[in-house]
Amino acid sequence: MHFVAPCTRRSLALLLGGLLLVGCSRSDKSASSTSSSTAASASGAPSAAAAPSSVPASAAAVNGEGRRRGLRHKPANLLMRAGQPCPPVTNDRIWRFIEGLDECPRVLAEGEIAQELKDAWAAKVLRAGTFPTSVAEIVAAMASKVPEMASGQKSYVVGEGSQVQLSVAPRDGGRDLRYVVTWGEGQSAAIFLSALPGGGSSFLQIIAWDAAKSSFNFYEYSTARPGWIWTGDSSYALRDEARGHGCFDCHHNGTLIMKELATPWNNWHSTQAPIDPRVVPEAVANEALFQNREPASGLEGSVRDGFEGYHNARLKKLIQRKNDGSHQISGMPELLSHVISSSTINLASTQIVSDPTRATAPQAPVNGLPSDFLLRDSVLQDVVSLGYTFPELNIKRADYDAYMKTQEYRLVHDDEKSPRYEAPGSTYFAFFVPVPSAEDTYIIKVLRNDHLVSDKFIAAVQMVDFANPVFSTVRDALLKYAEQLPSSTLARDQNDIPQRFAALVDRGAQGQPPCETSRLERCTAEQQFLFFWNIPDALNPHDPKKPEPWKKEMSGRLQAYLDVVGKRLGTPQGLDDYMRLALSRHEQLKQWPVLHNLFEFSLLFPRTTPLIRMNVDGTVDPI
Amino acid sequence: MILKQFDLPAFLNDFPDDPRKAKELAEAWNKNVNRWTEAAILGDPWTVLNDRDRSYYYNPLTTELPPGVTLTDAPIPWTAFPNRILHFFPNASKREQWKFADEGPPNVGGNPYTPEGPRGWQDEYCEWSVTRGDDGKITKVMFTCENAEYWFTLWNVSPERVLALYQELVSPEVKIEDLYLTNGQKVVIDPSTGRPAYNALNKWNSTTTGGAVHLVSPPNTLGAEIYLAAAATLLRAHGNVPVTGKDELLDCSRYGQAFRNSDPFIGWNVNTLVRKSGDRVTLKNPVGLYIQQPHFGQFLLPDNAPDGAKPADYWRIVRGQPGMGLHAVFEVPSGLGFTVGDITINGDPIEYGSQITQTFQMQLTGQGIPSTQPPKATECQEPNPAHLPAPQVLQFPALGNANSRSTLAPQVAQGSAVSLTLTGGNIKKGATVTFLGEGVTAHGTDSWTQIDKDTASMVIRVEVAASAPLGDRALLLTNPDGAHGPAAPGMLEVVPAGSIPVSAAQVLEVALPGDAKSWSEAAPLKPAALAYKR
Repeated sequence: MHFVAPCTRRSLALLLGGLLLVGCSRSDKSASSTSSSTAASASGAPSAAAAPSSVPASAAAVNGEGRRRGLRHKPANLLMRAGQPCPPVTNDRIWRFIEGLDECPRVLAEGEIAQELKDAWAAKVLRAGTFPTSVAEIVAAMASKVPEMASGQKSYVVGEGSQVQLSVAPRDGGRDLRYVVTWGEGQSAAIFLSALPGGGSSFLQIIAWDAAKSSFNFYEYSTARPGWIWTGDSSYALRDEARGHGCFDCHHNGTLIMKELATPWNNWHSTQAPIDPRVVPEAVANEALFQNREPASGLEGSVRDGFEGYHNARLKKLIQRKNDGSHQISGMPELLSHVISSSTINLASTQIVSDPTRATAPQAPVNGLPSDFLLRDSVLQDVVSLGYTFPELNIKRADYDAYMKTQEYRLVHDDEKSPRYEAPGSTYFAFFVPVPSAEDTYIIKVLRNDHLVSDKFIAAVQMVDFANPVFSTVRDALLKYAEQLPSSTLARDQNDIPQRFAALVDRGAQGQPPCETSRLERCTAEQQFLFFWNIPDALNPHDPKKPEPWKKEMSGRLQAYLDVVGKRLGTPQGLDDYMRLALSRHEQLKQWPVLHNLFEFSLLFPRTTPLIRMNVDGTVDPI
Repeated sequence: MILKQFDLPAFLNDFPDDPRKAKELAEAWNKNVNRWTEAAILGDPWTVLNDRDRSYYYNPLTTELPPGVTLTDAPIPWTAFPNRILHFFPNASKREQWKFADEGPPNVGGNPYTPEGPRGWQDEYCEWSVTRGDDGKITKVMFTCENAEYWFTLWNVSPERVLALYQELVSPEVKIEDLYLTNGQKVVIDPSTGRPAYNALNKWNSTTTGGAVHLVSPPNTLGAEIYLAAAATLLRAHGNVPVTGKDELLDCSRYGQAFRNSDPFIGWNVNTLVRKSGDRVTLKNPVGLYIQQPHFGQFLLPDNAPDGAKPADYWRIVRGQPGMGLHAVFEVPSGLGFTVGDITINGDPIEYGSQITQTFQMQLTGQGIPSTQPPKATECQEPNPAHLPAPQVLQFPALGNANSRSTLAPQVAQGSAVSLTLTGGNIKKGATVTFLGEGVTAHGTDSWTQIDKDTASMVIRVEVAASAPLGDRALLLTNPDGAHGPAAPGMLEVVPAGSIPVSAAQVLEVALPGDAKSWSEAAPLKPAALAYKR
């Protein structure tokens, strides 16, 4: 799983291939427009039953393609300004190149550096005239220039092929390994490096916390463009010109990302899935950074520290106290988008090893499908405290194993730089799927704690197409109402946003054909939201333990849904449906506007039934 | 260079003003760690095959380091929150998972959750206790990773010091009687010291609300940790196919419980160190499991916190030192207008102590001597068809009868005779006991208890000659059919004559004085009462 530089592998792969790239940039205007149009069309499509997924399940079932999408990186030697190639960079100063804003890299003036770059990497290394060109040089530079952080150096290793056994691929067979190296004082890291292991990393990305402006600064160095370039800070991720460009095509919120943020860390070296030195190239196994690798739980802490600290500061900047004691909050569309949609995603799984020959209890059922796969449990239960319980979500081991075989699950390493190989079976941990991000959930909690949104508002939004907690075009249709609310007022812990939002939705629902509330999932997003929002919320003053009516209604619907899922999971048809749903979610991630950049490596998700071709004798064969 | 002694955990000094007692404690501790180390290196040559002579785990007290060799440190961290709760209750809400970790999980499949017992489920070598205010909000959480063995040892040196520490760590209301091991209404006297024995599960250290001074979950022992590390040095293979996966190794070597963060990962790391470079491994001195600093970036103070205040301000390492925390407290001083329950972690108000355990790691450090040749791999552990009798625990009957958690070797003075209970596996009635070395003899008695199909205990009478050399004795257990395995090291210690009160070995229990209904109510025992001879 990827961390600071989601695009690193693509960039590196091509850089190593001799192509010149612009860091991890991509021109994604087409993707952005797709996003808007998808949302718009869904909002006007009452037949939402067919709308939630943009990837038909049938396509997912045969998918497997997982081929890398056409890369739209703009080679550096094609960067043009006024019809002329951009001048080369040099590695003796700090450059600036923020994609979307800058046509060419330019030298940062001293004044700009002093103003913009107060993080330790810029202040103590680059500004001291040290310009490392390798991981080893960065480590040495940190030790000599930032000794107070050097003692806190930690290294982490991730690789989508890190659990592939030697019987499938040799140790040099390509396992998509990357390092993340962090430095900081105490437990929390302030500087993050992402690079390839093995000493020859031709692409280095550093993200450094700048406490003065409460933002992360992003830096890149590549052999293709050999100079240290500042590629922007967190704030640029949300600026229209830079949004979705450069590294912000992956760091959508301008912060750190770690897709597998929580246990059991399918692809990271971790307590649950340690990476064996025998399966990595010998040169890597002998590197100090590899030998000293720490389990991913440590990085989880630093990544959470990072994005939470950034969003806390961001929110503080958005809240202005007025003379009458109330507060004006700007940037509401962006803030509400975290409640409604997915600004990024995480990947979660069971704790059950998929391959029975490697599992501790090979007969035990595959249990514990991620709760957030089925509904936004991390919000509906953990934040809003709706009252429902999950049934046991068990797949009999024999059924699971048989399904893997009949559907020909396999991980395919499909990289032009190393031999193709296939590992039978699925990901190391079973049921590895995209889920709503901890980052969005955190922002929801902060908005709630600061009384900017109410429990009922959060829940009413999440109940729209609740069975599809990610990749819901239905729920995304509500984004357009958030965009009409640039600011809000908070007075006496009461915010006007929920009511204003509901009023807009109510207006938007006018004229929509009526729908049956018994089949609420067939109603429009507006109708679904309003159904829940309009349920009375008064507590019974005589019985404070009695749940509010809206909670009761929501909980009842969720319980009924979960009960059905629990029962169906035990049937062949249910198992097939939910396994295909997981595959479908993989495909949605690969294709979802903007989020698709987080799919970087073919080994990330399993493939199933192989692609086939027709023969002249009327039979078919695998391709 | 040879290590001079195993130091106290985190280089503690619990007797800063009493060098004599400090020395006594240090010497006793050194002996304890040495015994666990030797037992761990021997492994289990009795009940299983392929799990003995773990020579790639080395005893630094007896291993000469080659000149110029550099020891390789290998820190091994893991998250303090019990992962088995996440494994067994994956679809419980976060709040439920936190509650289970704080207060105990429900049954699993109709059976009680294991490990059972007070704080049994807090099985990642970190246990904690939560204090709440009248409004139910948390005001303080104390965390401990101190091993119980240290406290038994400290108690043997100075019960008064243990009491003082309890009063400092938990409550000034702690009384010495609260810490006594009792059997029914009677205080149990430890014949090794002639004083009341220590109860590790006393009321100030056996709940998740009344204080957490040291670890009490059954798997959270230091001896077990050393044993695990040594077991993991054995390389494994099925035929010519090496066994290297974390779970496969666990199944093969059986050195821990699956789905914990700690044991499987510790074992895998040690095994990898040996396998990759042939390192001989030990746990770095001072041997211990240590609390690391939380990720305070996930903590958010309430708006009414003082300007400039930071969450880290409210975290104190009370015992140990940074990087080697033994006892930590998260508490907001009174008078600041807010408390721990008003602080959020990841946006959630702190409602349970376990939320904090999700933000910090535990850590131990392995240490390797570079070598050139990894050992030959062996097949997986399997039952020994020879069923050799295995000595497991040797304990004074009074302690065993009162379910003492002490695993310290019993001390017997020169020129004295005592009764001891030996618990063992595959032990048959009529088995004989021999202590290796001079001056210690054992005689069987009629006392015999079959505990389960494979385990039994027998009482033996042990006589120590006045001229017996001081020090540890290994115990050789032989079944009536002559079957026996190797002697178990460090099962008994001969101490100088006169170092234990004369009558102590005879004293088993002291009756509750006066009309007191419990030892907490009773007046402190006077030395004279301890001279009581039953």
